[in-house]
Parts: sequence; structure tokens; C-alpha cells
Amino acid sequence: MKKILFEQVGNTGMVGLFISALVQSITMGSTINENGLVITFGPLFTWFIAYSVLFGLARILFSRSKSNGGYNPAKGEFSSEDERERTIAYKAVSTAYKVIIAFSLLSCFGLFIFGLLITDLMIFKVIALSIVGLLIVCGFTVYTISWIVLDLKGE
Amino acid sequence: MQVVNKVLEYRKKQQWTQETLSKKVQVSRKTIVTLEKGNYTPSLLLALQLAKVLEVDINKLFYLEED
Repeated sequence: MKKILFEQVGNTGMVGLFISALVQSITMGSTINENGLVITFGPLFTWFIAYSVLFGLARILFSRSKSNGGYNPAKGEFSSEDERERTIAYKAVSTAYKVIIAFSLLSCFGLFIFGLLITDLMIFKVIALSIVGLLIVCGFTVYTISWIVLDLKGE
Repeated sequence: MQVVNKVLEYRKKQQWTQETLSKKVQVSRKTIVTLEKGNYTPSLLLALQLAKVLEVDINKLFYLEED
């Protein structure tokens, strides 16, 4: 369970920073003009890169600890110590898949409504990016909670 | 129908801890715990491995029971 929490908390932080960096980039004026694609990187991109490097190092260090519970950096949240944990991972990812599909459909409808109501393109872009980010984080969260519940239930 | 096991009974005959048995069949102790509680049905491979290390016929270790 520790390995799943470690990986998913790390992933959530990374995605949160990534989406925030993209939003910041948009608000700083990234656009397409006659010269082509113009992307402005804000300070949050630097934080995202630094976080990614540190998280990558943390994953390697965690995999070397004696109490890593079968954690494999290559497999991440799908690391398993034995067949029972593989079963848990399969069931957890199935649950996360269903939730993501449902929320994605809701998000599509939500973006459609926002598209009609919001006339400021920049605000719409920010909302759209935020929704995508939330969907990803939702997937991480549902997977983690499902995994923990199944593990505690004795699956 | 459900699968019932006597892993706990045969493990105690060997005087092994759950940790010892888990290491012999290369699974986590938690898996042995959930298995003995009847909350987890092992794969055929794990069932055969358990029967082998516990030195018991697999049909005596695992069997079907009517609900």
C-alpha cells in the first residue's frame, strides 16, 4: 500500500504542477501568430522540471529500500509483490477506467456549455486545461482508493 | 459454490509462521493472511506450490463447498 500512495501522491503533484505551468503559459500569452507557435514558459515550468527530476530520484531510492513492497519504478503504481496484488491492481484500474469515462463524458458536456457561455477565449482555455488536469488526478485518486480498499478488505 | 482451504491447519502442523510460509511460496505475508481467512482464492500455480511445500495433496488443501 505504501508504494501505491508514494507513486500516486508523486504523480498527482507532477500533473498538478504540469497543468499549472501550462495555465501560466497561456496567461502569459502563449499563442499562434503569423510567425508560428509562440510559447512563453513561466516559473512554474522550472518547478515542474525540478519536481520531475526529484520525483524520479525518489522513485529510484524508494525501489532500493528494503520495505518497498515490490515497488518497481518501471511499473510505478502497477508494481505488485505477488499475484494477489496483481489482482488488486487489475480491479483498481478497472474501477478507475469506468470513473474516468463517466467524468470525461460529463466534462465534454460541461465544456460544451462553457463554450457557449464564455466569450473570453483565454478563460475557456484555462477551464479546459483545468478540467483535463482534474480528470487525470481523479483517475489517480480513484485507482489509489480502490487499491487501498481492496487491500484492506483482504482481496 | 466456493473454494475452501485448509492452509491454516496444515501450516500449523508444520509449525510455521505465516511469514515462513509466505517466503517458501514467494508471496507476501498479507496474501497468506487473506488466503487463510478465505478472502482470497489463489491461482492454480500458487495452490500447487502451497500443496507442495505443505506436503499435502492439493485436493485435501483446497476443495469446493456448496454455499
